[in-house]
This record gives sequence, C-alpha cells and structure tokens, in this order.
Amino acid sequence: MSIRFLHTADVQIGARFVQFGEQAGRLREARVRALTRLLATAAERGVDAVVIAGDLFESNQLADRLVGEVFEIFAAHDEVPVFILPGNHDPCSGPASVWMRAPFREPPGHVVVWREARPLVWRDVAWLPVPIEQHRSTRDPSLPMVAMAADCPADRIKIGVTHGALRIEGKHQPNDHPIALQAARRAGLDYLAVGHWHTAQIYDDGRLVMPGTPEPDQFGRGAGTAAVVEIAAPGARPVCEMVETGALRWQAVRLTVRDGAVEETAARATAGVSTAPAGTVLRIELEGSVSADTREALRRRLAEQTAAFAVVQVVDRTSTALTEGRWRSRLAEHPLLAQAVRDVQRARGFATGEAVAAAAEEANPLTRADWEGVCRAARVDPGGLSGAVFDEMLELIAAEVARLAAAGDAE
Amino acid sequence: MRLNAIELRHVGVFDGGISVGPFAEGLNILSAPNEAGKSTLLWATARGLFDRHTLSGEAATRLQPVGASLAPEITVIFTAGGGRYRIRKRFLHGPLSELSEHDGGSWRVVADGDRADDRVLELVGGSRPGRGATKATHWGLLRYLWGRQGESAEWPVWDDVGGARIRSELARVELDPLVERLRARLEETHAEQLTATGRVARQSGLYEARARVARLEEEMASVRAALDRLEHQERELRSCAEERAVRRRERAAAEDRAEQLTTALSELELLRKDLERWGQARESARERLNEVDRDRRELETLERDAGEADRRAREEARAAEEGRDQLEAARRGLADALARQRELQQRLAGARHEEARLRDGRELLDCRARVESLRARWGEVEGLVQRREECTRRRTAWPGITAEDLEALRAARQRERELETEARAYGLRLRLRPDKTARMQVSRDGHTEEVEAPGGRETALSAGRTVRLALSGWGTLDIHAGAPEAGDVERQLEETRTWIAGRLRELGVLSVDEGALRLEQVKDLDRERRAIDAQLESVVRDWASPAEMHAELLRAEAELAQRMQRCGVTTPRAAPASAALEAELSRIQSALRLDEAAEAEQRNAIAARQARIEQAEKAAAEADRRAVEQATACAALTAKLEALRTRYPDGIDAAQAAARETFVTAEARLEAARGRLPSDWETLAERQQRALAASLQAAQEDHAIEQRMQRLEGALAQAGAEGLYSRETALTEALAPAQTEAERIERTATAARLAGALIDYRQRAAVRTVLRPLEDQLSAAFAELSGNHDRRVFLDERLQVRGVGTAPDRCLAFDQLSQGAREQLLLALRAAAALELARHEPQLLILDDVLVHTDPVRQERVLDFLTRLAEEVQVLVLTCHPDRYRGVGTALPWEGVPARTE
Repeated sequence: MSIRFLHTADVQIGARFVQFGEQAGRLREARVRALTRLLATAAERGVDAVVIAGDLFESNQLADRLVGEVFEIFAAHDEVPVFILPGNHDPCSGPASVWMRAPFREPPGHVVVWREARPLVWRDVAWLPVPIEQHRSTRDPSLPMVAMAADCPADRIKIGVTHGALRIEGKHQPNDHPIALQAARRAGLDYLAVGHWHTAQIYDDGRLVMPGTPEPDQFGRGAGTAAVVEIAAPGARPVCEMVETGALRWQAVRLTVRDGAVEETAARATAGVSTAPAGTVLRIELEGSVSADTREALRRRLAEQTAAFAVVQVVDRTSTALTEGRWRSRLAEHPLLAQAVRDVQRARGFATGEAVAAAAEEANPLTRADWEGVCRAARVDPGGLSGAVFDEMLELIAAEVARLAAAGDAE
Repeated sequence: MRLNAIELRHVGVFDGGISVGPFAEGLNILSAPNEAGKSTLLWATARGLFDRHTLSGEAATRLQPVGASLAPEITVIFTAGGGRYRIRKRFLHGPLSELSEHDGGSWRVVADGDRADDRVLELVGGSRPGRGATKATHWGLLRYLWGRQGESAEWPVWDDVGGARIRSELARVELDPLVERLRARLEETHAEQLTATGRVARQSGLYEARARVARLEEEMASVRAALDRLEHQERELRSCAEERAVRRRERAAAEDRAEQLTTALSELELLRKDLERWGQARESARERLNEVDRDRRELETLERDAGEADRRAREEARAAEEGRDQLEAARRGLADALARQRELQQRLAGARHEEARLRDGRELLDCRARVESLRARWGEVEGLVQRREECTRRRTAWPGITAEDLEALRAARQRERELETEARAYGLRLRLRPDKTARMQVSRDGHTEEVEAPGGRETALSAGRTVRLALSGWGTLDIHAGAPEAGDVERQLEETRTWIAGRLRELGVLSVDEGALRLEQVKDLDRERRAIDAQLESVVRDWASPAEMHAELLRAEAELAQRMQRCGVTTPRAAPASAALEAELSRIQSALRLDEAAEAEQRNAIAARQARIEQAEKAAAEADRRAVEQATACAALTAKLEALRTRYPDGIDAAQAAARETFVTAEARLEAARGRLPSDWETLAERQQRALAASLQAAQEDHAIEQRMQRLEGALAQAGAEGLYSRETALTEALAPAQTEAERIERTATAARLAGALIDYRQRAAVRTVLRPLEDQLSAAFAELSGNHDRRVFLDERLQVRGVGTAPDRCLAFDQLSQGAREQLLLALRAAAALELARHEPQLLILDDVLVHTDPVRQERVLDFLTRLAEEVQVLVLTCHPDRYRGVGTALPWEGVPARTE
C-alpha cells in the first residue's frame, strides 16, 4: 500500500498585478499556463494523483471565459486524477462559488472537487479534506481531521488536505485560517497537504507541507514549486520532492544613469539577467541626473533592449538636471535661483518634519511663516503637501534651468 | 528713444499735411488751441512707429481725413539705439514702409516693407498683437512715459515686459533674466493644468486624467458594490442555513411532543368515559336523595302551613263579624247628622230671605235720594236756561249797533262840530246888551235854542251866515252874512248832519249818545249770557248734555217707582228709616254667617261619616273574602299533605336512609375513577394543540427560510457568474496608472505653482530691500511739485503706491488724493522712470495736457521741475495754455493747418 501524488496550491488563476498596468494580462496568462504545466508534470512523473490544496482560482467571481478555459485544461489532461480543494480565495461559500457554478458544478470524471469535509477512501488511502467555506476564519481548518482520522482504520494511509496560514508567531494573521504546526501529528495523519503561502514550507517532521505557488508572483522569490510526495505505508515518513514548476523568473536591476551613457546603461540593464528573456519579468530601476534628451533616448533604447522579455517594468527615478558641476555653477551665478532651491529644501523640511538647517551664507532663510504666506499666495494648502511635491519642485527648477541653458536663452 | 521731427500727410485734420520739429533735446512746448490736432499728431506718431504699414480696418481708416479716402502718410525722425532714423509709412492705398538711417549727412534706406516695420519695433522696444492695431500695451516704455490727455489719473500696473523693466530700473534691481524666465516657465507649466484660483483648467491634461480616474472609480464603485452585495448575500445564506437547521430541530421536537400528547389523550378519553358513567350514577343517587329531602321538608312545611291556615281562618271570621257591627253603628250616626243638617238649612233659608228684604229697602232709599238730587239739579238747569233765553230775546230786540258804527258816528259828530266852528268863524258875531234880561229864540246853523240875555251885560252870539232871532215881544229878526266861504262850510255841515241823521235812523237810535248807551247794554247782555252758560256747564258737567241729564232723571224716577212697588210702599216717603234698616241688616248678616258656618261643618261631618261607612263596608267585605280564602287554603293544604304521605307508605325516614346509602356508594366509585386520572389531564388537549401549532409554525418558517434561501441561491448563482473579480481586476489595473498620471500632473502643476510663487516671493523681497531709495526719489520729486516736504510716498514691492503721508500707517491711499496731487505724483513717477531709463539710452517723456488740475503755484514748481528734468530727458509738452509755459524750453512752431480740399 503506497501512494504518490503531486501536491500543489495557490495557482491563483485570475490574479491581478496592478503595478504592471497593461502588461498584467501576460502574468495572468502565465498562471493559466502553469496549471497546464503542472498537469503535464504529473503525467510525466507518473503520480497517482494531483492534489490542489486551495486557491486554484484567485477569486470565486472570475469571468466565465477564464473559468471555462481552466475547465478545458482539466478536461484535456485526464491522465491523472485531480483532487481540488477550495481555498480562502475560492472558498466553497455557496451558490456564487466557482465550485457550485457551471462548469465545475459537474467537473470532468477524473476531477474531484472537495466541497465538503467528508473522508474519501481512494486507492486504499483515506483522504481527509477540509475545504474552506469563507474568506476569513480564526478556526484551525485541520481540527476536524482529528475526528475524521479517528474513524479511519489504523492500517490505512491518512492524508489530510486543507488550506490556511501556518500558526507561526508574528507571521500569520489570527483570522487567516491558522493551522497548528503539529496539526499532522495531532490528527495522526501521514501527510497534511496545505496551501496558502506562496513560498514552500515543511513542518511537523516533514508531514505538514505547503508547496508554495507554482508560478512566482513577486520579485526576489525564486522559482515556482510543487511537491511530489510519496508515502510508502501507513506511518511511514513521506518523501517529498520539491520540483520547479514556474515558467517566469522575476528579476530586478538598479542602474545609475548619466548623460552620454545610454548604450552602456541599456546593456547593463539586461546583462545581469540569467534567464531567458521570454521567461523573465524584469524591473529596471533608474537613478541619477540626466538631461531630458538622455532620458528620452534611454527610454527608447531600453524598450528596444527589453522587447523580448515577458514583462518589463521601468521605474525611473532619474532627474533631468544639469551636471552637478554645471548645476553648482548655475547656482553660484544666480543667487536668486540658489535661494529658491534652498527655500524648497527648507519648505520640504517644514512639510515632512525633517529639519533642514539654513546655509551659512544665507542671510534671510525661509521661515515657516514665509512658507505659509507663499502657499496662501499660491492658493495651496501647505498641510496637504508630501515630500514628492518638493522633489518635483526641485526637479522642475533643475529641468527648466537645464532647458533654458541648453536653449541659450538665459546666456 | 528721442523724437526729432514728425511729418503727417492726409492724416485726420492734417489732410494737407503738417510738419512739427525739429525737436530740441530738452524741454519742448507744443501749444495749440483745442481740436487743433495735437493728440492726433501723437497717436499718428505711435501708429508710424509701432503698427505695420499693412494695417487695415477701423484703426487705419480712422487716420484718414474725415470724408476722404486718401492714404495717410506718417514720417517720424527719431534717435534710438545710438543712431538716427527716419521711418516713413503709408497706410491703406499703396501701403509702404521705409526705414532710413542718417548717415554722413544724408538718409540711407536700411529696410523697407515688413522688415522696416520690424526693425523700428525693435529699435523702439514695442510688441504687436496677433492681429489688428497695436494698443498702448504694445508700445513698450512709451506706454508709461506718455501721459495721455484725458486718461484717468491711475497708478500704472507695470504688468508687461516694459513695466517690469521700469520696475527694475526704478527699484535699481537687476532682474535675473534666467530666474525671470524660469518663473514665467513655471507659471506656464502651472497654468497648463490649473487656474489662478487653483481649480483644474478645462481641457487640460489634469482635467482629462481626473475625468478618466473618476469614470474608472465610478465603475469600480459599482463593481465593488456588487461584490459587497454578493458577500452580504452569502452571509445571509449561511445565516439562513443555520436558522433553517434550528427550525427543523424545533419542528421535529414539536412533532414528537404532539405525538406523545395524542397517545395520552386517547388513554384519557377511556378514563373519562368511566368517570362519566360513575358520575351519572352518583348524580342519580344525589337527585333521589335530594328528592326525598325535598319531600320531607315539604311535608313538614305543609303540616305547619295547614295549622297556621286554620288559625287564620278563624281569626278572619271573627274580624268580619266585628266589622259588620261597626258598620251598623256608623250608619246610625250618619242618619242623625243628616237630620241636624236639614234643620240648619231651613234656618239658614229664613235668614237669607230677611236679608234680601232688608237689602231691597236700603236700595230703595238710595234710589230715592238720587232722584231727589237729580230733580234739584234739573230745576237749577231749567232756571239757567230761562235766563239765557231772556238774554237772547233782549239782545235780539235791541238795535244792532257795533263799536265801528259808534266810532263812525262820533267821527261824523266831531266833523260837524269842526264845521260849525268854521262856519262861525266865517259867520256872524252879535253882541247884545239889553237893558234888562230878555229871552229870545236863536235859530242858527240849522237848530234853534232858547237864549237868555241878562240885562245890563253884554251877551255875545255867533252864527254862520244866517241867524234868526225871535224876540219876544219884538218879532223876528233875520240877519244874513255875506261871506262866500261860509256857504261851502254850511253846505258841508249840512251834508254831515244829513249823514249822521240817516245813520242814526238806520241803527235805530236817536243820537250818538244813545247809540253809545245801547252798545254798552249789548255788551252787558253778552257777558250775562256767557255767565249763564258757564253755570249751566258746571251743573250738567256729569252728562254730555242737559238732555241726557234729564233722561237719567227719568230713568231714576222709573227705578224708584219699581222699587217702591217691590217694597210695597206707595210713596217714597213711606220707606223705612235708613239707620234702623242698616242695623237690622247687620244683625241678620251676622246670624247668617254663623248659620252658614255651622251648616258647612255639619256637611263635612256627614261626608266624613259617609267615608268611614264606605271603608267599614270594604273592610267587612275583605274580612269575609279572607275568611273564605283561608278556609280554602286550609282545605288545599290538607289535601296535599294527604297526597304526600300516600307516596311514602314506609315513612319518609326510611326512604331517606335508602337514598343516602345509594349516593355514598356512587360517590366512592367516582372518586376511585378520578384517582386514576393523570394530574395534568385538563391541559393535555391544549398542550397537544400547542405542540401541533408549534410544529406547523416551524414548518411554515422552514418553508419561508427555504424559499428565501432559494432566492438567495438564485441571486448568488447569477452574481457569481458575472465575473465581478475579473472586472474589478481590470479596473484596478487601469485605475492605478490613471491615478498615478493624474497625481503626477497635479503634483507637477502644484510644484510649478509653488516654485514660481517662491521665486516671486524672493524677487519681491529683493525689491523691498532697494525700495527705500526709490521712495526717497519719488518723495523728493512730489515734495518739490506739491511744496509739502513733510510727506513721503510709500511703495509696495510691486511699485504700487501704498500711500502718501508722514508714516506708512498714517497715509492716504493713492485714490484718496486730489486729482491735482495724483497728476503731480504720476508726473513724478514718470520723471523718475524716464531718468532711470535715460541712464542707459535717451528717453522721451510726453505730457499731453495732463496737468489740468494743477493750480498756478504748483504750475510754477512743475516748470522748475521739468526744466531740470529736461537736462537728462527729452520732454514734449502738448498744451492749449501756452501762457503757462512761456519762457521755458523750446516753443515749437505749429504750422497752420491748410483747409482741406473738398
């Protein structure tokens, strides 16, 4: 008597990626493809079953088109039986649940949706699922398994399946379906398959496993994974192999740019990427001061350079200013300009609470009352200003001075 | 710029042309009368310097002479930018523009057409609008250095490039062009998105971005509301499921309870039938026992009632006998009373007859007295009537002379005497002196009299015309007078005597005196008759007339006769004496009242006796009836008693003991059956009904919850299929960049606004630091013009006058100054501006009749001021008061304007 299955969770099909704007659709498509890959992997590995321990879907209220697409994927991969457990994102909460509606109300024959906590004996293994029925709960979803397992014969492998956060002090929310770290031993389970967190976790002497998401969704999280689990006999220690399943790698680079170095910067942007561009989500963070022309040229060049990447996010923190030397020269030549720049910095201190000391050469530093008078004249509420506004003021001043300098108007 | 000369042709009133100049470098005075065209000269000069030669429209046609379509030509010679230039422009027909530079004593064309226009504009520092003619705002420094006639005395705004330049010059602040352009650029950046008041500008990027955000947020709110509804419905569905489970448990429990109660009720029903049977047996025994008890009590009652009835029957018979005896005695008393009443009535009738007789006698006496009284008064009436008839008869017999008649006769007699006197005056006068007394008849004036003439003495006689003396013993002596008037008098006298005599005859009297006597007698008769009438009226005043009085007398006499006959007296005097009659009558009446009282008392006593007899009769009848009734009742009771005794042949006591034993037995059996009843048997049915109702109610509620759940499940299934999360995802991903973009634009606009405001703040602060020298300069100039050296001019950092006074907080605002003071302050400002600008290049100050409110004293100060100013600045004064400027500067000749050829 043994069992071998692929344990996955948190595919989160239909997830949103707000920070990526129009490119978010590509990331969603990648998660649909991840499901296909999981099923294919299961078939390749010759496992007995695929267990999806919650959150196959990001939500119960997804578009029918997307749900239908997933259904078709399952229908097309019937080599391995699939057990699906509703998670906190797609709980079996009633008629509005994706599991109670077409097409999953009547799934393909090899797919079982665990809509209720009822033991199932399959392949002589006692499967003890506890599906999630609501988004939030302070109840440990593994608790019912204690009674369920008690009713099972001792000579049968007992596998619990549920979904929730692991009860680790400081890492979980009390209403996030907290699961005790010794939940498997408490219920006398051979294996407790759970899902929720997107990075792999193994506890309770290897019997409580959270495989992580199969497709990564954040920078710095590594590859997506699933667990191939084999249990030789009742009471035997499960053998858990983490396999990489993610198609995308999320990488971020930070670059300091300067005028006249567009090509170099563009090259550096992709030089550190170790994965194939088509399988990479790349974030490029730009810093430094450049001219508007350089900035525009760099923008165009980066677009060319990263065209083959799956998703590219450019975070431009550069400022379009003169070079440091020329900027200092301008400030020295135009005392009124220098005074205005100092005033902005002092005003920023007033707004953010970060005190800025007056320069030694400053005869008449800006006072808070002066600043409030300026705001009144400009019809702007000084209390509603963030540091970004002052950064923008400096950026505007610098950019306009640079532009005027370039045009030679002021010379 | 400085002006050197101006030439106009076909411009306004100068259709024949005018040439003004050359201008001196210092003070120039151009004086001419009103409407001579001084201001037109300057406006045309401005058109020549600043406008394109291709200018058209109203601004160009207004240059043309009135009523003519000639092409205006303007030539201006000026110095600017270190050179001397001549610009010549023609507008409308064959427009041209030609700029020449004075070079080595001759003019060299340096540009023409638009290039000439642009070059001049560059030299004089102006600008042009997008289309149409230039305005003062495009004239650069000249806008501020040209004091225009009729313009309001207002402080310049200094709001354009020229103004800023003047501001900087006045404040001696070197404006940093880079910073200035930076500020302008920042303001542009701000103005692209926000208005000056901080509102979002329409059609701006921020406006569009915000609109997009608003649209997305609105859509998002709709999706989220649907999601909230969905979650709410899910919670409600869960709540319903829990509630349904509770209801179903309640229903099952209620149904079980109802079933148990139904079984208990069936058992109770059997027990209740036993109870009913034994209860009926006990009730029968109780009824039998009660019946015997009733009969026993009835037997006792009947025996007692029968004895009582017999006793009462005897008493009633005895009472009836006594009543009959009393009735007989009462009847006898009544008969005695009736006899006594009859006696009293007879005596009373006699007394009443006597009283009537006495009353008749008293009335006869009264009637007789009245007849006698009437007769006496009637006799008096008859006497008065006779006297009145006598008076009437005598009055009728006497002549009917009246007071008027008597008066007429007396007047005629008086006339007669007057005529006689007059006749004697005209007549004879005889004096007789007989020796001895002699008697004679003298006939004169119609009558004769006997006259005696004493002897020895003279007797005088007078008469009218004729007198006759009949002397005894001698004969008759007629003496006639001869006066003619005497004849008329005699004739009138005769007529008067004739009238008197005739009237006396008519009246039936012999003389006037008799007439008077008769008249008095008639009056006396009338008085007597009125006295008689008064007496008569007094006597018969109780009647309407004497006839009625007499009729009453006759009636009284007839009544008297009747009463005498009734009383049996033949003469009135035979009636009894009145006093005796009254005494007898009084006595009889007293006796009669006593008898009447006695009779009434007797009558009442009889009525009382009769009433008592009636009562006694009724009592006797009632006693008889009761005696019979008691006898009948006694017989009936005896019969019933016998019948009751017959029903209990063994005796009533034995029957009662048997019935009691039967009852006790039934009671014991009933109690035994009751002991078998459950303690709550009375509420079992109610509890069963309650359990059934609870079951039914739980079933109904279960059904309602089921329906509600079905509705919720339908709604949830429908909402779940709407893909709300996917829609929210799409919206969120679209909203985030839209919000970022809107925030970025707003942040940029706000930053530009604040940066510009900061720079402006620093610029104004810089101006403030150098404001004092400018205030000193203006204050000195204004003090020189106004003659008041105690005041200062205070400016703000935008070079607007804060006020004029001894201190910043004790000063008058510009618009509070008088017109003259404002003119002078503006002159001082323009002078200061021109002086400052002249430090870099020559400047022209034009004053076109701007000192109209300045008094003569200050006018002199103005001349001093302008004279000194002209050492640095070219000054052109246009005035219609040449006398005010005599002796200063250069007086420009004003060529006469040729009459326009029609």
